[in-house]
Amino acid sequence: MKSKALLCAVCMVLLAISGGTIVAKIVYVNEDYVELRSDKGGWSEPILTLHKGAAMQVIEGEGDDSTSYYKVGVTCGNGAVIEGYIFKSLVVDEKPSEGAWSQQAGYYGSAEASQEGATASAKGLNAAVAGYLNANKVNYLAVQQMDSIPRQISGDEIRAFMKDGNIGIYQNRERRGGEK
Amino acid sequence: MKRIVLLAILALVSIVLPSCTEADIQTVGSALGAFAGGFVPVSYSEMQDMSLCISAKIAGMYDIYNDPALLKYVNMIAMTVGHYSDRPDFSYRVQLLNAPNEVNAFTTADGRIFVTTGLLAAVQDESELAGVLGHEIAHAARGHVAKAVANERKKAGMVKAGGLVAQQYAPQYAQILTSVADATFDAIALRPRDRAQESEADTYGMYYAEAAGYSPKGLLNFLSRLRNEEQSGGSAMTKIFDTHPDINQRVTDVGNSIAQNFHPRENSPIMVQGATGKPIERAQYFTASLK
Repeated sequence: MKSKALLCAVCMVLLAISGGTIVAKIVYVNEDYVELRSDKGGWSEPILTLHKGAAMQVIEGEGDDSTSYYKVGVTCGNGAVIEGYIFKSLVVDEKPSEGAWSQQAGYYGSAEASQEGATASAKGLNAAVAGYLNANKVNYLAVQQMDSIPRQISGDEIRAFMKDGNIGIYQNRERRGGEK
Repeated sequence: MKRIVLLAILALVSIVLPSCTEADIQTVGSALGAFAGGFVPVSYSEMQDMSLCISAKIAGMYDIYNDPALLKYVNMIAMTVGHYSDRPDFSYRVQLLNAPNEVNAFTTADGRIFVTTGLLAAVQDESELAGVLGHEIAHAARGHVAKAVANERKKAGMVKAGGLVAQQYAPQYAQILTSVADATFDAIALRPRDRAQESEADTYGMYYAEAAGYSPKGLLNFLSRLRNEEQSGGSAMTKIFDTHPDINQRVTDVGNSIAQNFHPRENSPIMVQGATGKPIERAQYFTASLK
């Protein structure tokens, strides 16, 4: 009883000090561009491409060594928050120096920095790419086919594949060589 | 010294500038812009455009091998290994090139990987394939191809600057894209590759494969066998040696890297039920139609 009262008192003091608010951790993209994904794992759907310095609020994963991913919320220009997963090693706590995107956007007119995500190619080709494909011996259909593969393999399917082979997230750590 | 150079430039400008027409000044300005543009980092959308063009050109060099089960299998290994790479956020996806007499593979900056059927037929188990795919993934994840694109764009910027002064035309994105995509295609598909980057791709490819649960010896076993076949004259599948560093040195380097960086433990084979009901190694099962 006495310890419960003490715990309550400590909590109240902490709340009073923090003003009743909990400050969420903010992290920043530290690569030229990073894909925000719908789930943990590189096989999940990319939902947003973030450029260097982009800020996001950590929702889950802080201080959790069992996962290599943060679940984050990214506030878009219209105020909407997009939630997704990002690999921890691709972000930093301090805002990195400005990326080159703002300097170069529009330099070539059609080469604007995209914030729209990895599915940009699905939106249609720009004139320069279309011109290149028309002028060269290419197989664009084969590229479209391979680009659609990640969407054809479900998370369950890749997990089953890893489980059958005892690899990936199902690997037997004993069997692995392990880094020295 | 810097001050002297600066004063000399200012003196030169003060002499030349009054005799220039407005058109001359605009031309020089455009040329300087193009030159400087060569040093601006390649944007995300530019890299996407370049990668798409290069990929389409690589795919255009070959017939595509149509085997949905094999395609899915190879892609799932690439996804698994890619998950443990430095860039797990990339979408690694593989296309199969029908070239039974060629052991070769190509990668673009954004994770498109092309492998020949000759390479797949030469693989004896899944750890070997994981090692090869790890090597290709490392080229993307360590930014090797992105650097090649950036280097070629620098050169293209400078070429355009020279051309502008002579011909007085504005730089067009389509021209830059064509020039850079073609040059990068040559760099990754036709010219001998940078030895330091190949070595790094071998080492990091083994890290990724090992972290994914495969023996790092897979890559060593694969390369050693190719070398032995080449030396015995028993294989015509040597295309990869045209663009990759000396195979003897590579086998030595990979062996040394394993000794230095990994615990030398063998992998257990991944067995599945074959068509006859007998267990068969998984890579052998999926590549059976190629042999």
